[in-house]
Amino acid sequence: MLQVENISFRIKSKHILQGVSFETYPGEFIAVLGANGAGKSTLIKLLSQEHKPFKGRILWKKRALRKTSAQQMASERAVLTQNIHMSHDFPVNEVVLMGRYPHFKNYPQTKDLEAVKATMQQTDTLVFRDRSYASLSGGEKQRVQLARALAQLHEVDHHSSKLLLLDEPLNNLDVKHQHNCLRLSQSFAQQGNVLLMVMHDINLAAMYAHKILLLHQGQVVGFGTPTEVLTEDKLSLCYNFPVKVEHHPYHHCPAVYFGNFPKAVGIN
Amino acid sequence: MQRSKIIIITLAIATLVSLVLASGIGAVHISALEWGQLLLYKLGWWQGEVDSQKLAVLWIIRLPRVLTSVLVGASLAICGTALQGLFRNPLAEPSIIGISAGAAFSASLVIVFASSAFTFATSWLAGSLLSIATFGGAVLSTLFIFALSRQKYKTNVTVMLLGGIAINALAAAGTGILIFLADDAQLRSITFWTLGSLGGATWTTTGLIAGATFTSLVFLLRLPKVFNALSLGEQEARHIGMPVERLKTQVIILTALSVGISVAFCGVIGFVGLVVPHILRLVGGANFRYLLPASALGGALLLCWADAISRTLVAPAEVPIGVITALMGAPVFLLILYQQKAKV
Repeated sequence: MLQVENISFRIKSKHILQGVSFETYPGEFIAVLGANGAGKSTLIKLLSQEHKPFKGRILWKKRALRKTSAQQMASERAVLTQNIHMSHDFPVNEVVLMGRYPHFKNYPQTKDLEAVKATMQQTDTLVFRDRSYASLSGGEKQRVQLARALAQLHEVDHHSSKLLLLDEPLNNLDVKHQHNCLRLSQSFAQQGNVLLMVMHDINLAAMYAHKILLLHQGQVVGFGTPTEVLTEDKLSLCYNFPVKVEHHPYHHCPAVYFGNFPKAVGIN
Repeated sequence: MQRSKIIIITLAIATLVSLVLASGIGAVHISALEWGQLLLYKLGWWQGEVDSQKLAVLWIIRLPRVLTSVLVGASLAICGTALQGLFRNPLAEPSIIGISAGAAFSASLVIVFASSAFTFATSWLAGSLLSIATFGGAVLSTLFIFALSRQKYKTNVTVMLLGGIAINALAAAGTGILIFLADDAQLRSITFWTLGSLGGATWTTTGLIAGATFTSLVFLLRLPKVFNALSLGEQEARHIGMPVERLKTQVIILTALSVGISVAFCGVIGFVGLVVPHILRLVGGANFRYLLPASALGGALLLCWADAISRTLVAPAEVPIGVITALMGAPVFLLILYQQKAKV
């Protein structure tokens, strides 16, 4: 579905990404992990055509991204970038409606308004639909922007897979809304779509994602199921920090603990 | 949505009423009833007795002037709104990217260095040359700033704003040198160009200005979605499929056309593109679907009355209209600055 073939990207002489390759299939929720500066956001920018790779190519449904315009992609790809700053203030529901702009010409149709309502319900933002965006808190703004990205792909051509790219969508969210966002992402992927999410909480990634893409200094260290990728060797290499990986007693996925551990662990 | 519709309809009615009232004001007073009679008579739909002096005043002097004020106001305000959407900054205004200053500077150049060949007050040729030079100055300064801020198929908005400030400073310095070189008559002409007046309006100039204004309206009123999306950010607007680069080119060309033509015939009239969208955003919100048409109407209304004040305040002399718009605009400019400071 989404094929990334040996892509490299650099800014001046600094290599940000080097020889990154991976392939994803419909229904996959992929968590992109790595330390600061590992190239996670740059990867999202290449996938959203904000930058062009210096080498390699990206294929979406066997079509080179280089040969497709952002306008064509807008009906099957939505992007949520980090730190969105709105230059003018709008009512919240108008911000979400912007996600539907690729789908109507001048005035929103019934299905556009339905999509706005449905995704605002999903992200728990419907209560402040008429408030001004500027009056919201950081976490509320983040949820509104997530609703906008979801609205863009809501009920658009069921038979065709869509691509959702989320760059740190969990920023500023409280525990409940973090889990809500992850659940939404999971069910979005399960409808035959592809979702890439940059995140920092490794345990949440292990709990919700189908696959993990672990980046270190612009290169892929691991790509596979959480159990395959989240090993002590790989994580300590990436984060340069003491780490232990155990089995999660309830969710049956890896549970990762960071920090310095006392030498003797046992009963008194 | 309802509130914005009410504002637009109110503004439209107010503009039409102002058109009639403002063209009745002056040394020869024409009431609304007489105005209607004169118009119907001129169109041949009414066969009654009319005052031929009033007919001449209305048809030859007042109507082209008032129509010019309405058209110039509409185009300056809608271009201001478009630039603010493009720059994602409420301080952007046609004069800020150097278009007005570039235009006024090239007008001054022609006045001072070509005046030995022409007598400006009377010569039709000189008038045309002056207008072409002014329009050319607007286009050149726009193209310069555009080329300066282009990088890798994208426009760097910060460079564009700062470049505009630099062009304004250069043009102001150049105009300053020219003022130093100019004689008394030239000085008055330069003053006209830098402070603005609608006194030279004829049906020909009104027609040209109408062409430029309607071109801007036709293009810009179709694009509220793109402007709205731009407030998310340039990349974010691209991600929702908006043709951002095409919008930039269109706004630059339309602004050069509208502002160039209005400066050519009316001189520099600043702050209209700043004040009008700002006030309308306060009363009706920032949605460009409302803001673009409302700005056009609001600008028309504002300039119609600014011109009425400029020609009646110290009649028979005139206060330059640019002085009046600056007096109204500068406090609003400072207010926006203050609000932005409070926000950070």
